[in-house]
Amino acid sequence: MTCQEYDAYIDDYVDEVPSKGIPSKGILSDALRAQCEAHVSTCTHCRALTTDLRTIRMATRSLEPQVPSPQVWYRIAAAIEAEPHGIVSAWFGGWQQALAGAVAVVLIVSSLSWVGGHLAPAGRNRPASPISDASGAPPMDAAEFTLVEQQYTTAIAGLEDITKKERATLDADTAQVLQANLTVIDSAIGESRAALNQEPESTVAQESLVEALRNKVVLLQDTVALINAMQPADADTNTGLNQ
Amino acid sequence: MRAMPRLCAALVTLAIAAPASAQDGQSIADIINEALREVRVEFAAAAAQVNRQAGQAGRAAAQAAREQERRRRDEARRGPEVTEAFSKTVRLGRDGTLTLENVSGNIDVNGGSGSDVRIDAIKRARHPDADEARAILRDLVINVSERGGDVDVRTEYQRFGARRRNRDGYSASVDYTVSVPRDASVMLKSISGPVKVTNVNGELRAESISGGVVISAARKIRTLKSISGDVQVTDSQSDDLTAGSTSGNVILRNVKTRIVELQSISGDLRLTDVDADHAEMRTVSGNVEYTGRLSRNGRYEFQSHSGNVRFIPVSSPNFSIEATTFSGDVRSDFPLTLQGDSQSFGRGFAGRRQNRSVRGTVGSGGAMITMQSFSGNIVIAKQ
Repeated sequence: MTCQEYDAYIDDYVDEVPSKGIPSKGILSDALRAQCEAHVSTCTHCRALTTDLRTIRMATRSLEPQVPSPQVWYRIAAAIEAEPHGIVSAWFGGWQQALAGAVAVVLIVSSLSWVGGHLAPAGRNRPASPISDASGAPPMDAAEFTLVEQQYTTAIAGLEDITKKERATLDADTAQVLQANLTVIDSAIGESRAALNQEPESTVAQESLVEALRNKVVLLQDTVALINAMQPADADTNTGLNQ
Repeated sequence: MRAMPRLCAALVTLAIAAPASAQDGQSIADIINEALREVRVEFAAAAAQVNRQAGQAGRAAAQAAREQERRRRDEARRGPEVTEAFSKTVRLGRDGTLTLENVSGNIDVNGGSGSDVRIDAIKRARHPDADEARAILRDLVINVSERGGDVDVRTEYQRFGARRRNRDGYSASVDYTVSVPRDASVMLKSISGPVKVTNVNGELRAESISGGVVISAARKIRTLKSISGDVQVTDSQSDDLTAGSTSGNVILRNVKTRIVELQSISGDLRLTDVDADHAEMRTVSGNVEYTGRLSRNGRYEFQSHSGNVRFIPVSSPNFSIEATTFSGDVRSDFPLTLQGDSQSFGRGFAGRRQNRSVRGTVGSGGAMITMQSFSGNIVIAKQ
């Protein structure tokens, strides 16, 4: 099984084996499950992705159910109307799009009441910001914001875990550039947090923090994609440049 | 050498001044002594300048010698370069795509007439052991394949795996110069090295991790990316263009497109003389600048966390604008009709509106402009 083929089954595989390797449902056939297991056991990146998705999935389960406010549907409708198509920023496409999608889905599901204003993958898929939101909805409250920040932080932690383990795959110059830019983003995160401490109701400070967190997720996704692309040909089967 | 005219001037002064001064009672000896003092001063200045110039020339020569020595040592360490030319011509299908994936080296693609793809390449390798360098060159393979009218070109380092580059004490690269039919679609990927494309009308995607991406006279640009290089586009068109660089600048000039999206983390984003219906420009620490025409119902979003955001509409501007900053300044050269709870300001406004969103319209409105910078300045300027 190639990475590309595994992409098609990863959701079912993660659903089947939520933890401790014990299948919970018979979604996949025995043969497919065995193929997935074999692939995950030999492919570093798919294994890391699977672990990451499992972590996100478990984190999502631990969250309290969120009831969307009536404004949400107006915001979603406005966003869809305004943004007909989207782009996920990642280097060479492929599974990292699935990861971006998974992160976005988790975020959207777990904090739906805020989706229209703030949460989205990179690029034009992003809904209109509250500033230009025709619904005129107020900025989210502190609890909502904390929840969203936690979710981004969890996603970032998972991606950082992958990049730290595999950083040696990148050449020194590229790794240095990526690290320098992560530092730039961390600085933006720090400034936004300080501004929020100073003015907790500031919409622009909230947006800046979320934008900076989103940028960090995107850059870490790009970093993982680059690591994938830089792997020697015998370490993975069908990812990165060849996709 | 600049002292010479001054010396001549002193002698001329002496010749003219001597008779007149003698009449005033000043002795000829005094005049001569004074003139000689001037001459000595001029000579001293000339000598000092000559010394300075000699010193500069000497330092430059020494620096050149050091650089030459560094290159010699580097050459000795890395070994002499061995090269091999590669050339192949293949037929591209009517709607075919050229895909070229390189690891290290330049990629230069030019659109032209005909229906063939001509690939000229120089393979380069270095190693302290010349035999080993030649062996590396043999293992540095250019694979050209044709499939369903498409042409795929790949650089492969067989001994180290397809994606390794310049590791384990060796150096290898391939410089490509490729001619393609002008209407061909082109997809280029490089890990290390610049990518340059000129005169291609087909769909274009180009990526380089550590090199720049330079595009000119292209007609259907889709995606351009770099990690540490700049991305530059001139005199081109697109329907839906996305360009980004993590640390480099992204600069587009004289580009017409329906949609354009630029992204960076620490680089500047600049659109100049652009015609777009929808533009998004987002960077974290870089500056953002948009100079272009506005579509009547267009939407334009410009954002930086700590950089300045500058918007310069051209022709007859009619737009609605929302400018938001936490700690920067907002300035507009246009008189704004304010909306909502924005503080009033008119022509030539230059003031600090901390943590505030300024909403307003210019002319009859129409295009929607959103500008945001957390700590940078926001400027709505006239051309």
